Amino acid sequence: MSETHYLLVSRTLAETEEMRALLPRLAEQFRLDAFTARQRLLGRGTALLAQGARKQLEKLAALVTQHGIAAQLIHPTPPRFAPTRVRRLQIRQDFLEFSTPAAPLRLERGARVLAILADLSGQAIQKNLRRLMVQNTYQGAAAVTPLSDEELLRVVLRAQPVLDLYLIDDAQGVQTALRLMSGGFDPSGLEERAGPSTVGNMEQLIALVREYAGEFTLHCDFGLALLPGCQVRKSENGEDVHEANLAALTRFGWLMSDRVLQRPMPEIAQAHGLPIPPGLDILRAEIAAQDSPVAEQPPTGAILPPPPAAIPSRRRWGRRHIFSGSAVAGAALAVLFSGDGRLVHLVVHEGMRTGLLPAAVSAGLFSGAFYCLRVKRLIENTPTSRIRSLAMGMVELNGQARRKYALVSPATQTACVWYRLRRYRRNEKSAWQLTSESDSGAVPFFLDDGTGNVTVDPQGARIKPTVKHEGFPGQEGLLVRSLGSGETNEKWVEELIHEGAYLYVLGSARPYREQSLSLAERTREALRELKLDPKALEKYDRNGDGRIDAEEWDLARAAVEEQTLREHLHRRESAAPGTTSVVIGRSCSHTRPFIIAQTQSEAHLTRGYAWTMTALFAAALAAAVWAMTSWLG
Amino acid sequence: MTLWIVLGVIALITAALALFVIVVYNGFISMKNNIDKAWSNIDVLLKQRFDELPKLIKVCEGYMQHEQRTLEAVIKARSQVTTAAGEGQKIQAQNMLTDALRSLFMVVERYPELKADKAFRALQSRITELEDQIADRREFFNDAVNLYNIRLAQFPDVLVARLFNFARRTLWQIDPAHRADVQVSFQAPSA
Repeated sequence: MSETHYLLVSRTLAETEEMRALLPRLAEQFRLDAFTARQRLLGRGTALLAQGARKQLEKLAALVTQHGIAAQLIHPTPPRFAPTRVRRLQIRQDFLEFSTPAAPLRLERGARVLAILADLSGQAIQKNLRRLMVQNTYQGAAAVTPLSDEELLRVVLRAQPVLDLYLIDDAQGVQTALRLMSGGFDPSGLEERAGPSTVGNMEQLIALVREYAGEFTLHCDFGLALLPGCQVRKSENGEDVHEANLAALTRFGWLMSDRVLQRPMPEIAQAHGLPIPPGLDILRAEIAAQDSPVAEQPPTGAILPPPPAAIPSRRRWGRRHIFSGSAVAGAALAVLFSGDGRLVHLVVHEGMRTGLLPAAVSAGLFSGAFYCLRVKRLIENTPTSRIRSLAMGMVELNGQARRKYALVSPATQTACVWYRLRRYRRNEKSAWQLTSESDSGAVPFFLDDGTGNVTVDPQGARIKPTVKHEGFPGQEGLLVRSLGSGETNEKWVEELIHEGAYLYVLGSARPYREQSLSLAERTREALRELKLDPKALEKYDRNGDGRIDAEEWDLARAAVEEQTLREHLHRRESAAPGTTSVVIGRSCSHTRPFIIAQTQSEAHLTRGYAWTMTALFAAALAAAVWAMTSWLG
Repeated sequence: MTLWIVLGVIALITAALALFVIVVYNGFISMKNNIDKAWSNIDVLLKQRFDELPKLIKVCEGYMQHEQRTLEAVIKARSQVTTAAGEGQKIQAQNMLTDALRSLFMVVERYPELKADKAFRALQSRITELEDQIADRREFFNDAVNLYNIRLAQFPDVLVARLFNFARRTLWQIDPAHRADVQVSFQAPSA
């Protein structure tokens, strides 16, 4: 057993070759989902890459550092006190004196100070994000540069700044923490540095502390850093989030001080008699809960395993089929194109004259229309099941998609349960021509309807996604909605079903035999094993005649049944969430439709089929009339 | 020539209608079979619950020596399920069994040792899970019947239904006693 540690990394602004090489290794060696890892490694400030036992994290830290990313392992300390509010300050020769509601506190010259300048309004985050999006849209991925430290400082100062000062002692850890809120302290103590602007006063205050401190560290990335419980909440429906944001800031300050100290701090609980602000108890309890001893286990960042080796979703044709099909098609083409295409002309001409060609088209359109009608009615006639009580056979389900494997779309790097990527190139007539197509294949995913979850095997399904992204080569990794320019000769189109999307699934439910046997099967298996084990049977030979009579066998069977049941129940209880014993897939006979559609409305889906059916019927009728006119005329 | 075209169009429309009738007819057949399947699927779970009961009773007997009447009620309800003849009687027997189990789980509150027993807890959770699943499947059955009955009454399906004498199906109904208001008394029991 060991304590939970955090592996913090300094995020980088752009994806590097080193990082690209690191992601698959993280997935293979530490089962760290590539999408999540990438999200944590890219950006501003500090991010929590993984948490868990120290031994495991040390290996992970070594790998990350090896790839040029600064990593630090810390044991997070629960906040022992929140920064106390400062009302006024006085400048002295050897120290700065801060007036607080309790007692005045001093910042001696040469002290070690950790400063956190935070924006509680969320404007800094928004500005950073807006800048990234604008740069991405107008200048492309290569030009994306987040706010510099200096720019970020300016943005935070102009928003709703709060300055937290942690006075740190090498031996005793955090000794005092102070909180100065913009407009909440009397600037007259700044003497000749004071001015009419609150922004200017805050700047002067930072400069003053920097001047007095022996070692000064300033962090402005609160809200931008990816750390647990350190997010800035925005007020919705008039909800007061100020206290929650202050609590998050306190947590951030203590984590940053842990980074500075890099060792467990001695207990100096409330040595200064500082008042405990509201919310701190909850914060401490949360961190204490996280800090409970944990067993040696992989870092908790590792949630999903990497997708299995690619299984093509298309049906694999046998060599025999390919040879025979090619031979027939080749022979037909050779016959048609022999003699300067006269045969083609003859077939088309005669087909049109006699009406056979339009009649064939009409028959094809009729058959398509009836297929749509059949599917539409099947969707309408099938009641929706609940996953908890799913019966085998044809089922209709509604629920949210959840990833079973760490599947990430190749172009936009989105966490998804299914994707299809098509690449196009302009031909001589400037029309887009499909050059390649790839999809996620048969990577299964979970469907969760609130009563349980079930595995969906998308192989052979008619998939109807609603999310589509387009971009040019070089724009991979970004969410680009429009093409913008028509100059390039290549483009990609990515369709995907992202994690959490609401899906409609019509398919065939069958037991996941590879995973588990039913209770009855296990009991039969156990009884078979008992029969083959004379020593085990001896236990039930109550009269000691060396034979098992009917009564003794009944007893033995009851004991085995009870034991199997207990094991079965225990297995069910201890099964990891997400393990399901049923899989939804294509029916074995392949005669029934298998549909996965990103929609919450069945009516929306059937309306689509109704429109297609009507159009096909109308076209079929027109083709039929044409056929008859040709035949009679 | 026009006459031939008109005749041809009529023939085509007739063929399309015939195909439509086939699709609707097959739909009804499929729905009817789905209803039967949904009903049988409830029976599958009822059988599973039935099979779990002897184990539950066995575990309870050790602790609940003073609650023989409750246990006997469960045993009796279970045996009535096996002897019930006809759909109505079977539904009644299953409802009685559900009631008996509910009483049993209420009485268990008085036996902390039994509540703490791992096997009992597992069986209780299994039976509760089965009860939830049974309720879901009954709803599913009613959904299937409802869709079928709606189709029977809708135009143009009603024409096909009348042509082939498809009859309405009955929804699953609960015991009327379960619809009665629950009487709750907050008075202390007299000594």
